[in-house]
Amino acid sequence: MSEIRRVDPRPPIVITPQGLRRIVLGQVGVEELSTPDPSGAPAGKVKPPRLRGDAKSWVMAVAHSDRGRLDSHARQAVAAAAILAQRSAGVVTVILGDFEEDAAALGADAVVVLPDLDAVRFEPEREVVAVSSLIRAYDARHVVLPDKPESDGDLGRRLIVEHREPAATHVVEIDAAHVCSPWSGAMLLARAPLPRFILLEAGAVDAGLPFTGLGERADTVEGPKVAEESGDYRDLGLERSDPSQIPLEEADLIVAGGNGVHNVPTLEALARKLGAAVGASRVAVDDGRFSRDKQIGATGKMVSARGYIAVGISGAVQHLQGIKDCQHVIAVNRDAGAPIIGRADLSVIGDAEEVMQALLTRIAQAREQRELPEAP
Amino acid sequence: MTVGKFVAAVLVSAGRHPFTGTPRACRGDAVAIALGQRIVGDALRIIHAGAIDEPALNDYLALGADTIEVVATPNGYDTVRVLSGLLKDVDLVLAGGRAESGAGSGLFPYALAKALGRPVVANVLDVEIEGAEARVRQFLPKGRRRGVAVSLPAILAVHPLTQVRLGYAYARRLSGRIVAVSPAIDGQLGADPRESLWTVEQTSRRPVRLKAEEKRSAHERMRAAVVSEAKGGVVAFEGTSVDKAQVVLNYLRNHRLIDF
Ligand SMILES: Cc1cc2nc3c(=O)[nH]c(=O)nc-3n(C[C@H](O)[C@H](O)[C@H](O)COP(=O)(O)OP(=O)(O)OC[C@H]3O[C@@H](n4cnc5c(N)ncnc54)[C@H](O)[C@@H]3O)c2cc1C
Ligand SMILES: Nc1ncnc2c1ncn2[C@@H]1O[C@H](COP(=O)(O)O)[C@@H](O)[C@H]1O
Repeated sequence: MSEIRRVDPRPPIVITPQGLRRIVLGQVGVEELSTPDPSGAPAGKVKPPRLRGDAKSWVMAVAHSDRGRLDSHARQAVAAAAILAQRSAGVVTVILGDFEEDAAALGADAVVVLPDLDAVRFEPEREVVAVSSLIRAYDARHVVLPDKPESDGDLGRRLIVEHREPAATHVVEIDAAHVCSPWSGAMLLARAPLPRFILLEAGAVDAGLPFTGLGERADTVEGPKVAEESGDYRDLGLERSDPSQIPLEEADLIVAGGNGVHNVPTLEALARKLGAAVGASRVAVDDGRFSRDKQIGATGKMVSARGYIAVGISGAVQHLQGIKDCQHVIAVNRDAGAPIIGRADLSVIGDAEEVMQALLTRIAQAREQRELPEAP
Repeated sequence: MTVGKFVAAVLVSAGRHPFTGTPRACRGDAVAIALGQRIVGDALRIIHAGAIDEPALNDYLALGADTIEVVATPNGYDTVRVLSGLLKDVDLVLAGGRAESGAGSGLFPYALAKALGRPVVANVLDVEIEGAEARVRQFLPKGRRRGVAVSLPAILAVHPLTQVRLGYAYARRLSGRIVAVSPAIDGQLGADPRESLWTVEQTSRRPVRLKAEEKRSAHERMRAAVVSEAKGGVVAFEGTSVDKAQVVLNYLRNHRLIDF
């Protein structure tokens, strides 16, 4: 047996840094399996920077952040700026509010963060002055904002009339030469040459970029913080409504119960403690445990909460359709094979009632430790 | 400016059904009329810039407008200038958030505010007049509302979710009046800069999404096609329910879904 010379049928190969298998002829060596790059990321996934050399001109993206992050609509605006900038122009991103993300991954080369101009306060005049001075400082060729009527769309329109420049709103199609917006009342698109100001609809741009930006903070730009409100506008503050009163479609956090929830008061108590709205699956609604207006899914409501906690819900396609816009899905389920587990960002396997009770206790403790007032 | 009586006006545009293009009242503008009437009653002025025989105007009559003043804008002249001449003495101007015909950019109230040098607030759900200011309740997403006090005279763009009752009465449609008024501006009128930018395409189509061009090797494309991305997040099996509760709480905190 041992006399027989065994031949390794596999030719010797190396794996190149790009993650490709290369057969190396005339080299007797065992597989030099994996030369993984030190960061642990899969080989070949390192994105190259877009900008080669110094920025010759600038394209600007402007957006309000939401608790330190940009939402997907705002990301699309930054991505649009990065694609419009092509190889030679830089992308400067102006963020109104706190910012804690990696700007390079969004495609931004320079980031200006104006933390005191967040979306919570209504200070249109200061915002216009600050952003206008940045537009001038960078001599931005194009300025892209997400067309969100409540925040960036309002700012964008104020900038447009301030600068009296060609502008397009509700833009659904964009490339380096033109934009298209819906032409109301005719189901047609209207086309215009790429204007200086662009207010972008959600979904007009794919935010996935094959390159990165340089992501340098440029907060020290002088000027934008000096402006004062003239007194024409006075912010009287936010009124926060009871989460159980606001429509599900508008809710930011939802606790939804399905067939696995047998004790509805526990779920409602949990929602109250978390400041969340209550939703339900169809089976639970049909069963009479929740009212019809709580039903989420294809035949119920489409929700877009940032956080969605599905308790005892299996995650049938009809239900998942209703939560496709939810950012963070947490599942509590006894069955680790339920479809919701594939959708959820965090799954907890266990009995619904037990987990909810434990959560209630933990929340009570957490609130006590920090001595924070109970939610209304 | 408010020497005598308080004057409020609503701007109404020519509404069009989004699919059929049938003339109708623009919902946002009709809501603005109802809100205006709640504030000043029948003294509300209702103004349209455009053709006097605009068919959509009859709908506004039926929805509660007594008299609609129409100021002619021959062939796409600058409506902002035409209307700003007419609105100099008006304390409170209400507009819809977005017109249904043409670009429907929602820029009109802002442009008017700029031309008149007045403040403008959009997404207005409710207004109360208190002395020289308007106290406005503003729509924000996620069930939040904001109060803003804005000094008068001012321009407000109403939000379509404003709670009003709209009743359609055919009798009013017949009894209401549409009168022509002259623009009251001096100097030459230019073409509307907002409209001249656009050329309308002839056939309807879906918009094309912008995607960054990506040069990928055959290997990468093959991999993208055959390897489906591992979906699904962290799964917590082990531990007591207290541990699991902690995991959930940590997740909620890390993503700032709760504020404690
Ligand atoms: C035309 C059509 C339209 C539909 N539209 C909708 C819709 O709009 N919305 C909708 O929700 N559904 C809809 N459905 C129904 C959908 O197909 C599912 O039947 C439904 O969503 C299932 O609800 P469920 O997950 O609550 O119940 P089940 O499928 O019974 O799942 C219960 C889950 O709870 C878990 N569980 C049980 N006991 C416990 C416990 N003690 N602790 C923890 N977990 C437990 C189980 O493991 C299971 O995963 C539609 C169906 C059709 C045919
Ligand atoms: N021609 C017009 N006449 C009167 N009001 C108008 C006219 N065009 C627009 N408006 C008002 O401005 C709002 C926003 O319009 P737009 O900026 O065109 O989307 C509308 O809802 C109307 O209230």
